[in-house]
Amino acid sequence: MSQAGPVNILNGIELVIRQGEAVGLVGPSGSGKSTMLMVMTGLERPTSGKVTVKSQVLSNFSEDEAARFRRGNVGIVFQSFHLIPTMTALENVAVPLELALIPNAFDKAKEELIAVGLGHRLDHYPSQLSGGEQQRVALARAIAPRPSLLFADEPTGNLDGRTGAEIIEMMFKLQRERGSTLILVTHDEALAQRCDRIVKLRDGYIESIEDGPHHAEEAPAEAAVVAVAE
Amino acid sequence: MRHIAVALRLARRELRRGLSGFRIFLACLILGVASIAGVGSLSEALLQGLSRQGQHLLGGDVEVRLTQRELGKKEREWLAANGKVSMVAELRAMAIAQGHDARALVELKAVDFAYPLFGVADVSPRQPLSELFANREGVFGAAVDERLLAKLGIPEGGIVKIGSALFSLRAVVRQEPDRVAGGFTLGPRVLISEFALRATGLVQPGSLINYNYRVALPRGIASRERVTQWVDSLNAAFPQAGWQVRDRWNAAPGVRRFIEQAGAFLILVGLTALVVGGVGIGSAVKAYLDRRRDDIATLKCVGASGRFIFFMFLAEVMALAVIGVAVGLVLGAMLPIMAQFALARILPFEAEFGLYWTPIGAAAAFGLVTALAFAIWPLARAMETSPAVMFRDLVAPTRRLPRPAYIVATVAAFSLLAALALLLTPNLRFAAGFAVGVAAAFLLLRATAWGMMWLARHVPRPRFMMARLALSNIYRPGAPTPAVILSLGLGLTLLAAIALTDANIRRRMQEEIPAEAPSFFLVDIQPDQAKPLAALVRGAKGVTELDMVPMVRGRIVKLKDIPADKAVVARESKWALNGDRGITYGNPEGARKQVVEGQWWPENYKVGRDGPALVSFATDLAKGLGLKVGDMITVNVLGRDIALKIANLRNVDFSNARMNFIMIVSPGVLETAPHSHLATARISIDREDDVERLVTNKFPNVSVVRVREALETANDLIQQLAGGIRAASFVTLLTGLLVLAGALAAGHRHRLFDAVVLKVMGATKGQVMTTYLIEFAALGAGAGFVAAIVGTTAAWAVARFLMESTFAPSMSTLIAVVLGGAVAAMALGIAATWTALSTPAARTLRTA
Repeated sequence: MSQAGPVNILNGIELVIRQGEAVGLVGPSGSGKSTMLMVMTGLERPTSGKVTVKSQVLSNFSEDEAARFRRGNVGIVFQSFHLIPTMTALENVAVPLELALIPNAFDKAKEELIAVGLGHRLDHYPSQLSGGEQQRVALARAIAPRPSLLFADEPTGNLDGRTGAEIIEMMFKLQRERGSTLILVTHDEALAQRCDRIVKLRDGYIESIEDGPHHAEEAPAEAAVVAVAE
Repeated sequence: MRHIAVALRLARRELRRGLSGFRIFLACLILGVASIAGVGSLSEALLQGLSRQGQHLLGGDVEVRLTQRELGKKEREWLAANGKVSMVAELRAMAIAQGHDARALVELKAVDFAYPLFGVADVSPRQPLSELFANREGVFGAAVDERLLAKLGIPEGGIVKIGSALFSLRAVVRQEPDRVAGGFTLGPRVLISEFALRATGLVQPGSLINYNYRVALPRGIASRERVTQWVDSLNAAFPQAGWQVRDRWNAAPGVRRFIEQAGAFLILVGLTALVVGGVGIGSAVKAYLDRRRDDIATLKCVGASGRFIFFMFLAEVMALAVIGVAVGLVLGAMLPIMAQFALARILPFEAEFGLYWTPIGAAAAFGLVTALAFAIWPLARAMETSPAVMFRDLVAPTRRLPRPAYIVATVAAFSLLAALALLLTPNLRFAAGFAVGVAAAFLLLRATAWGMMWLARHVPRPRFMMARLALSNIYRPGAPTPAVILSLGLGLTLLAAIALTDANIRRRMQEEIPAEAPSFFLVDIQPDQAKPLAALVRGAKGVTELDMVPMVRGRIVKLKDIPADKAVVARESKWALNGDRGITYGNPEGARKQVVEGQWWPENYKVGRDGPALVSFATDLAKGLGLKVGDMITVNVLGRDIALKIANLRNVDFSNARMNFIMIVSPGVLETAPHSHLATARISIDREDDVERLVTNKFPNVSVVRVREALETANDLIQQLAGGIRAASFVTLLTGLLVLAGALAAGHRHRLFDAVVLKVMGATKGQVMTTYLIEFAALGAGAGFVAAIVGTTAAWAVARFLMESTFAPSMSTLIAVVLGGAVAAMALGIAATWTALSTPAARTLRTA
């Protein structure tokens, strides 16, 4: 809501994302990419319309219900990492596992950090890690509870080209290995081309939905996310 | 020098930003300064009022006070030849209602026709005093305090018997110009004529009667110097008179002393508020400088030195402090004007309102020095900010001690604050104790905060995530732990000390003293009544103990050959030289057992044959007066100087409401002086009324003081005082809460961020709240624990050294205060972080 009155950020969106799919959300600044990500993860509620994730209507959830739903179902990687500065890398990764009441949270967290190549940095605080390392911790944290949905919001925005590429490689690899659904918000057309489908947004509308060059025809899987904005 | 001018110019530019970020800073300073300026101005207004109205309050320009004897003919003639004289006699007596069997102890005041020399005695219905007091068909008239009518259950005009005379209570006293409140009275006032007093038969040799002769001096003798000359010539004419002379500038020394001491104590409480506020000042400065870190780095990049940064921000902070101090001073100076409406009803004199520069100057100095003392440290650390932060986003700030010069400056500023506190309070020992107490509490709390942060960092990390986060919130960089522990701890310490002192006084007054004390004091027993009265009381049902001793009144006039008014004595012992004290030559129960130094005289000791007249003296007082066993003192009893050698020292507990004498004289010295007897009796409660009736019916001149009632009166007085102290300590608590709120607000950004990240990962509001609860519970427990220890120690010290009484901590009070305070603080903490819990995650994520 602005002072001038309500502003519709997303309009007339109808999007179905299948389980295991990698979807790139692209568009210029202000096109509604991040808002769509927030709505799909239950961090923001649409004023109208409906978001269904894994057959559950997320848009009807209260804040706490949405939080409980995210445990084990949703992992998010942010552009600015958003690690808790007073916790070590290991503790940061363990937090979602603990919240999801997954047994042996610390052992699992350690495995995840080793998987992203940070086995030697377990007890370091975020301030003691480089940007690339911090983002790897954030990635480990996002995938640790084995969520069926992985969201990434400009994950390379704060990293140099080479480090960013490494993170992307790692993310796609883990997504494929675990069969998660990936929704990747990016400015980078080339990066988006690595996804199965590319959704282009402009002024809150879906401008186009295209198959990516690596798209392989498979039998349609169950819908993972259905977003309908009226 | 030019750099300082540039720094000041930049500071002025900075000030254009307004006061945002400095609200807590200003509120702390305003509250502290206003309370100090307010209390100081009020006590100054009261003291000025006392001085200005000295004539009315004293009832004359000079008062000559005698105990147990009236002026001799020559003395009276001297006074009459040198001024206009009025006599007022004061004593305690029993008033017995006629027609039904009610009786009460009254404060009897008999006046002559010249009364009052100054001001107006207001009685209702209004009538001339001569008419009111007139003897009509054998019944005198009296004006009384309204409470007496209620106590005796008789209407206005009812008849009472005092001594052997009958009085009709014809009017109610509305105002006595010479009655100074604050004095301890045991019963309601009864105002009668001097003639009527003689008719009561209460004037007997040795009766405890104070005769006050007020003198209005001729016009030519007005200045203090002339009045002092007049008093000197009076004393020179009658060197052996043994009287006490006061002038109008010293009309109510007790009240003056009380105002000075209460004022000093309340200023110290105000100073505590300021010190607590100082924590907020320091936090506010630190938070402000943290926010300006990039700007400081930028200034350094363009060539500003560390010292330049220090002076620039110091100038800004001190300019803001001047604003806060000014607002505080204006509010403080207005306090007496606001208080006058509340005080008008209880004060027997008018406060002299005006601008008093001494307390205002003192409050301003306290405020500015406090701001300086707490600002130097964060400023000295900020000046070390490296310009490299422009290029590296350091999460942890550089943890470095300020340079030695700035540490020295901080210590100097705090020492100056302590020196100011000592300089501006009359009771040096108490002020020093208070300063040490506050400093100890401060250091202990700071050490506790440091210890908790160290512990939180080093304990094994709990597996329970909420506890882990709570722990890391306690020690992380910029954690509010020190500020919370200090502000909450100091507030709770003061609260605990005051509540425990209050509870201890109540315990003493309501349990301990009544258990030790006798039921009655029987006063003014004539020598020939001693035996029959003892027999009567001992034979009465319910009486378990009767102790009776002869008593005379005498004043210490010389200490080891030095006149008492010239002797250097401890401040707390001065009271013993200020007037007449009771002296006995009897052998009060248990006196010998109290001897701690020297020997009690032998059974058949005879003055002259065996040695000089001996005296047994109270230990503490002897110490205060600089006396030891073997020293000589001179006591004036009814105009006669008696030299006494100190034979032994006794430990006397003045707080137990028993018969306590500072001086017990060996036999054969005072027996021939006119005297009365004093007795204490222990009686079962249900028989008290019967024994009182029995005694006063048979011996109408004997006054019965009920100890329980006297204690209740004293307790009421103490409770009124305690109310004032509680009000003052409320300012400290309020400041503490302000600082707490400020500390929590400073950490708000961190909390918001943590809460959002946790929510993103699936934490519910309840779980985030659990984290805060664990953190605040730990902080509350730490602050409460220290407050309990320091508060109890302070209350013990007050009981032991100031009140010289026993001390037993009231655990229920301690738990209620500390737990209540800690829980309240936790609630405030949760309320302050509520927005962090309720802020939608999306908003923060977009801006983070």
